[in-house]
Amino acid sequence: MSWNEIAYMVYLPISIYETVVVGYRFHKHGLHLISDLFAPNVMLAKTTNNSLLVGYYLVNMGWITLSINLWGSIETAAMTFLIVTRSLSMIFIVLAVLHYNNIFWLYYFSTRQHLLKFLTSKH
Amino acid sequence: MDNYIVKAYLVYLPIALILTLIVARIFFRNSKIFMSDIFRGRMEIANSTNKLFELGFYLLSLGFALFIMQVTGVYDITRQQFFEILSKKVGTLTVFLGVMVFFNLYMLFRGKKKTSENERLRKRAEQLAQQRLANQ
Repeated sequence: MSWNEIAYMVYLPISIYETVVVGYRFHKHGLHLISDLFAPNVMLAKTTNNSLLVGYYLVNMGWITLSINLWGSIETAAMTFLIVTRSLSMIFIVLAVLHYNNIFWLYYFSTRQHLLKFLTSKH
Repeated sequence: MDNYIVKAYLVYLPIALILTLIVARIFFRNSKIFMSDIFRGRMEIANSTNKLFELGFYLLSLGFALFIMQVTGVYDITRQQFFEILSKKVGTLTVFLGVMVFFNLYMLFRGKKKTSENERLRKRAEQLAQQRLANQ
């Protein structure tokens, strides 16, 4: 078995497991924040949440399958470690940036909504 | 497997994973109290926000930990270089984790400040409205 195949067998399960688990958790905990934003309209919050999850899965799975193509041939054990961890780290960092971006926009819209409610109330 | 670079990877990986795990567990166990204060006892949304920040912390820290793992420029290293490289990497990761913890603390304090500011504004507006009613 070549080093390439070993790298695939290590990389694919870890990355797919990570994608599914992290997506499930974002989906589960983000619902409260989004339904707080879309206050009385629960269905709109749920559909937004589901489309965010689908977009997340598409981006992540596409990234995983594309990144395997870019590896080239692997010749040593050290190189296997290096390429697998480098690919995983790129996934993690890009996901983290997307996640903080999402949190920022949620925060932005919720503060704007609170401000609007405050200004349009009777005071 | 007799290569010291591979040994360095094998020693570094568990250290990085366990360090990140311990720091995140300790920090986000304590930040729950902050969150319940920021969201004024709405525990559902406080717990969700806490979990989302925890996931972001894990993703960024693990991504950074794996990103700085590679040993570049050399094919084999001596035992002395092995310890030097290992300490450099673990040290960088620890400093990064410290910076992340302070960043999260900053966000918590900011949220706390915003909540108390909003409450003060609301109280002031109510007071003004009552005064206006009394004057009429």
